[in-house]
Amino acid sequence: MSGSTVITPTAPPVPDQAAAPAMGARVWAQLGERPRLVRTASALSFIAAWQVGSMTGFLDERFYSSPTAVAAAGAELFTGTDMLPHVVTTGTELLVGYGLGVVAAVLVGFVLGYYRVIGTLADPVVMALYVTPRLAIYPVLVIWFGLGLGSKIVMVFLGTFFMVLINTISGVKDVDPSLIRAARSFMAPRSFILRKVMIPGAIPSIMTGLRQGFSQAIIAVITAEMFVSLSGMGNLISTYGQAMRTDALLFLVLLVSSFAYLAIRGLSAVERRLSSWRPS
Amino acid sequence: MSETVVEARDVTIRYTSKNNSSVLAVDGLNLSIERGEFVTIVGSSGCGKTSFLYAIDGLLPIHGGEIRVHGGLVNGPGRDRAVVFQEFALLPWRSVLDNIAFGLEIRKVGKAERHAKARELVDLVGLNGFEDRFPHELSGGMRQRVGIARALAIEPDILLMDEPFGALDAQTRESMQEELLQIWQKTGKTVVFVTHDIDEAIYLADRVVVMRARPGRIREILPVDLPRPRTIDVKADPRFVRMRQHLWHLLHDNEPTLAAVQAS
Repeated sequence: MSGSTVITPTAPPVPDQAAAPAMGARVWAQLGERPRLVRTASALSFIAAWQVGSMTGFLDERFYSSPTAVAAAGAELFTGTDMLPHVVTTGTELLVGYGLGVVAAVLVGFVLGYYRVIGTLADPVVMALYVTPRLAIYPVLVIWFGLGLGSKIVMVFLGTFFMVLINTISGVKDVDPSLIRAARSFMAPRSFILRKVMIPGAIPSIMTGLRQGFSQAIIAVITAEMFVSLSGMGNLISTYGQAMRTDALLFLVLLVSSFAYLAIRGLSAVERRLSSWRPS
Repeated sequence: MSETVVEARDVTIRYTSKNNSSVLAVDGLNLSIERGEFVTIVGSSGCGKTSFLYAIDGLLPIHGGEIRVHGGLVNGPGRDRAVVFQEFALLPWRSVLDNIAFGLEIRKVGKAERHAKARELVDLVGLNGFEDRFPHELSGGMRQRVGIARALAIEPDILLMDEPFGALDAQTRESMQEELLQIWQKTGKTVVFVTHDIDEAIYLADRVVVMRARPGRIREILPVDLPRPRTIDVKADPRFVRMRQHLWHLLHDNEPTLAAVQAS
């Protein structure tokens, strides 16, 4: 190689090959730019295949149900009066457990994140409780807090609490120490540093905890209700499962998932809004 | 008429290193700074220059000797001093204007008043049109303009600058130096400016304090008798060149020479 650039006037780029790739490649590239279309197509073809499978008898409808049967079960559940009390039960457990969990975790998280010694003392305990499979202690919770709302609220609380706690602690710890130093240099009192530096600095991380905590809360309430309960969406799912009502069971699962999905999307939107100052 | 505004006597600062041993960051440092003076402190990293600067502000406790500002013993940050930090230390969730007003907000100045003051400083540091931007939308040079404006907003007598242009590229750094001199001439503040850049130290200063490391001590105080106002051209002045040469050797002659390294 001489190292110099040789321009060959007789060899320009071949335009018709560069501009016109194979038909398949072109469609492929265009689809790559429209992920929403591809996702919708994916979901629709799955539902269609499911429907065709059950109509042709390839999938046994007793075990696999079908999209139309699930929709019919949904209509039946929504028009009837059976579902409402269950929704109320689960909603109450979720709201109370999640709300208490968030408040407690943010408060405790600030203390553990701010006071290094207390945080270090608490760390092994928090970590041990965080990794404990909480469903394993659920039977004890039922003994302590009863078959009804109490034991589920505690389950939801625990699921939320540890997620939010861990994110709050890391959020508080990760507040840029140079910001605190600057505030101190300007003679900011502790309360000012807390309100105007620590809290805003920790908010993006807390929001992540709120989102992750919510998915934990949903899992906690449904599994606990399926395990031992008097009412609730998990209770209903479990009942339909035992009655081999695959259509109703799948509808309820779909309903719970959709709700969780929308709630988490909402929390993500709030999270993005509150973190907009972060360089991406 | 000269009036001493900062007086450091036998200042000792210790810190605990990672292996839990006590290290002398600053040892027996004596320095007085006059009102309106521009003093730069130059030294290699670890010579305790930033520790000393923080000690003047009261952010860092001293373990021996005393530091007086306007005659009073320093035992914490005060109204008469403000720091410009190397890493800018701007609140990333606040606009330029609210960052500049930060110190005033801490002093419980009302919103209208502190914004008015902040706008004056926006003018002074040339950030017009960027009042509502967030720090991450600004270049390094502009962020440090915010840092300088924030410090000036509380109207301190003494401006303590900790390698404020250390994170900037060479070109931005030189224009910021020139602007800083203009601001200093306009406001008449006393400035203590820490740097590891010899050119910067001479260019800005009335006196250059040269520190050496382990333990941090003053090696020499060099008066800079170059005329003011200075422009970038002063760096070609033979006196400037001689001072640079002198400082370079002061800062480098306690490092082992290449021959010594090879011999060992």
